[in-house]
Amino acid sequence: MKVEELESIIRDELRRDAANAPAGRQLRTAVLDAVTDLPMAERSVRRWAVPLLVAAAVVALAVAATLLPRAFGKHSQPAHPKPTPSPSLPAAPTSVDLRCANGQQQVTGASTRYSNSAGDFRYVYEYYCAGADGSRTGSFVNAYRMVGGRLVFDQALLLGGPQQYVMSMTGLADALRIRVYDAAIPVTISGPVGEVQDLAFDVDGDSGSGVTPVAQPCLATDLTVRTPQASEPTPHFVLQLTNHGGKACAVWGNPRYRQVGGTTPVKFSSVLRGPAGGLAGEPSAAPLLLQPGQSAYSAIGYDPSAPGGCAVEDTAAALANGVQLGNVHYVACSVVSYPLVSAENGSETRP
Amino acid sequence: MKVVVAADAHFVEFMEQHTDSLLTTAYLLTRDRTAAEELLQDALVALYPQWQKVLTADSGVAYVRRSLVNRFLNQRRRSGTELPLAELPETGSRPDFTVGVADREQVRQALAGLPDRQRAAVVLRYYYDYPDQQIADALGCRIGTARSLISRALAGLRAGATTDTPSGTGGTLR
Repeated sequence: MKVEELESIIRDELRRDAANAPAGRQLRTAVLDAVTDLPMAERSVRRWAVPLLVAAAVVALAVAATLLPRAFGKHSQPAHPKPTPSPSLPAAPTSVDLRCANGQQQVTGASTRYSNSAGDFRYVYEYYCAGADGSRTGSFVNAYRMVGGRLVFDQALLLGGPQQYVMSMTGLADALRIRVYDAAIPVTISGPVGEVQDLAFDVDGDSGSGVTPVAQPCLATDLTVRTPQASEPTPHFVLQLTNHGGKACAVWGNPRYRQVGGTTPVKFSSVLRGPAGGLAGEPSAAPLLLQPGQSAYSAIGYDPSAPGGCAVEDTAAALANGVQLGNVHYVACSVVSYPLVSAENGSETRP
Repeated sequence: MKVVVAADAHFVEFMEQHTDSLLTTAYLLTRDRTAAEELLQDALVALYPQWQKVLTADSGVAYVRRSLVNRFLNQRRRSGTELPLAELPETGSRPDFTVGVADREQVRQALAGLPDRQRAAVVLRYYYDYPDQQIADALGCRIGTARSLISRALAGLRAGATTDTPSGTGGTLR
């Protein structure tokens, strides 16, 4: 669909929506009634008091929430691993306008800095919400400037697109590049999604902003699939995907398995974070850009609660974005899928 | 005292002339008739004590509309309804759309699901034909961010329809 067609549909739909808007006659009466007894000069004074009181209460609660856990020697919530910021960067501001859903908490991700043509530095931090189960939101990225030794919010650069995840951020003189994995793009009629893009930000507002697709999602024809065994931390199988194509491609998430043979039902499940014990509480694994010859690995675990005495006959494997990898073979009574990572044993922290 | 009287009279006149139009704005933002009425009523009541600002603005309607958009976004932010949550893609391939047949319905559904700031930007751009700077003013952000919002919205809406063109955006920094 061309942009003009899309814009035309948007205009039509908004006009259609607008036709359903309520009439304002009753509202006029209600508003005039509401303001009748409230002189203009006085109301503005009274209305100042409420936000001030609310702000004071919020500050008091924030201070209490910070100090009380320290006083009792423990944190009120399990802590996510915090990336170590570059030595040249100040600590990321934690007071961010980001509301996390129940079960998720704010995580600080990548960081960098850039400078504009005047030589002024801007400090850039990624935030998102992540749950203990590995679920996460898209990335929010804010830029800050240093004022009097403190970071002051300057502007929002990414607004948490639901499936847009920062892979890296590179700040230079007069340039900022944010590499993202967008799990909703490219949009094609039947192809898989998951594009790696470089977002270029025009530091001085003259030229250069835009999007450069870096890599498309890996297709089955790009990948060689193997299932080697690993011995650490415990013996397990690994799904190894090697890009044998001539250009880089992207993979992300948990492979999916489906039983295609045998009579004994096999239990399938996924662990969104890494193998238990190694990555407890850590957000989901980052998307991977596979250069030609590079591999991604996903541990194939087993569920100890599943009944024994069975064997997986044939299992069809697919990537999270639906790319069918064909049948893979390994012996197990249950299958637990772990995220694709770059470590050879399919685990990010336990070699 | 004279200013207050003048402002009071202007408020009443303004209400007569622009309530329907502003209610349309509120409805396009909230997509709910009751919520739209509450949003506009709250905005007008809150603006009433400072009506001189509306009186002296270049465009009183634009000033109130901007206030309306800000109030809408702040309400949603406070209530935490704006946060888009990530999910692992449940299906690998995109739906097998027939080009052009289901597009309108898909766009309609995608429009309803836009994040609040993107929806506000889309309403201002495509219903009111606001230029980028005016959208940025209304949303309280920089022009690059406004462009980014619209671009992201279009990408999301495309995702609800069909296209062969990948999209996304960078932006402009200071």
